[in-house]
Amino acid sequence: MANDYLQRSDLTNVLTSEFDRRVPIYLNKFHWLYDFFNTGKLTGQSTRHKGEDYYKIPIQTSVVESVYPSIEMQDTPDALNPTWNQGQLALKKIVGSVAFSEESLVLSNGPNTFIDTWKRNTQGLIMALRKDLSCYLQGTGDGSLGVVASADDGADTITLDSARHIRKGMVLDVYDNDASPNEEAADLVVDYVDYPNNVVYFSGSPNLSGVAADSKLFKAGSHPTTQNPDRAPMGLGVIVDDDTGSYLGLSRDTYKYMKAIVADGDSPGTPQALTWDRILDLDLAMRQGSYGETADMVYTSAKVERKFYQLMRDEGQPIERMPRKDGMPGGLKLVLSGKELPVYGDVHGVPNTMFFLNKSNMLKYTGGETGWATRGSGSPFHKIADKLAYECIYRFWVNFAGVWPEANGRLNDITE
Amino acid sequence: MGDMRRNVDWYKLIIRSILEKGDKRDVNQWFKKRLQNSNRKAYEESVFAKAKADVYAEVDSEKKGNGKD
Repeated sequence: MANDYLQRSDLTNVLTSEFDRRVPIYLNKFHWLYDFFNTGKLTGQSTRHKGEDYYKIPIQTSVVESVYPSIEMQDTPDALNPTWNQGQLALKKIVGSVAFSEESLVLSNGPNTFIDTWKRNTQGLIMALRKDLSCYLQGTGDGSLGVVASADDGADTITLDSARHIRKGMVLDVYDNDASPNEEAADLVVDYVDYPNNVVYFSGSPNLSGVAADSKLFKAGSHPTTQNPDRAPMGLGVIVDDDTGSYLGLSRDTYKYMKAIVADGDSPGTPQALTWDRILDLDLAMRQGSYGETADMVYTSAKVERKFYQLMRDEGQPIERMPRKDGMPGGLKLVLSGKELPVYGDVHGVPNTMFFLNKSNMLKYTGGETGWATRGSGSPFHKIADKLAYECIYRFWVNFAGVWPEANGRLNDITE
Repeated sequence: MGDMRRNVDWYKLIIRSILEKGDKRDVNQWFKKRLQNSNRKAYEESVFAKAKADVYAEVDSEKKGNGKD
């Protein structure tokens, strides 16, 4: 994908400042879920391929257990220390760039034409980065934005399982779901998204004949490879899960304490009604598995939040709203284990699923500098080779992990 | 590559889409390939079997309804 330069014609022909008044400047908003997580401390750095920093994450697997009933003159019990294992976490690099021509800077006559546009583009970029991050926070770490249900080459459309992470203007590649992913279509420009039907329309009559069901959509150029199967930060899809795969470098089959507490419906994979018993059973399992650590919030899809509201109403429970506070959105309230939990339904939330998250065990890890790359000149403006044009690169390194896996829970198969 | 947990509705969507261009053999082949990368094989097999049975029953009844059977 080539740079899309901000050029002088964009400023003079489109009258950007007039355009600003009608279209909200901040198309993408900051996402609060990222802010919710505490920051974890990184130790024991090493470097993996392609400059990925690898850190050791301490996983506590038991507490002191040397407490026994005793009698007079009984030998004192053997001490039983807490046990630990060591997980591994790679920091993932997220990069965004904006580019503009010399003319757009020096020949603009309006007093603030360039500055206004620049401000919009750069701030929009940062918000897009955080918006994408919130998408990755739902996923499994592969960075995919949607899964193909079917493709229609004639109509230039792809129907996804869910189009909630796709926006107009994105440029996407399609790769199959193989262990060595194969490209099926490239540089598809999103023209329009029919969200209720999960249909994505592409411009420029692309060839979609090779796009198969179960393939995945990625931002162009950011697809996974055999060497880099997980290009994006890990999300709730893998952190709060109980499959037999590897998590933080440890097999969940071998080390069962690496599994989060997950509860399916009566017939796993088939959605069924949300009930108090289902919520309570999950909560009890979490409390027992995590030595009393309980969830601090519930994160779900907007439609499941609605089902939760209906459940409260039908059970005759008081329906209370948690107010918008400290950067967190408004939500419903659930009292569980004597604790008040906000329940947030989000448009990006995984469908049919509720995540019960423990704040002190769901951590974000960052490294290096977060911000505009200013190496060399000290300025974020970098001249582009062979052109009198400039670009600014915003980047940061981040990943997420639940360090006491059983302190986080997940309720699957909820009817929406 | 990690993959999200998929439910019956999602499998039905995919099976329907494969049946539009292919047949039941293509459905089975696709699932066989998908299963190779799965970390939750028993779950996937049971959900796929349920989705497949549902879709095939739906297709059969649609055919009968259209008088094509």
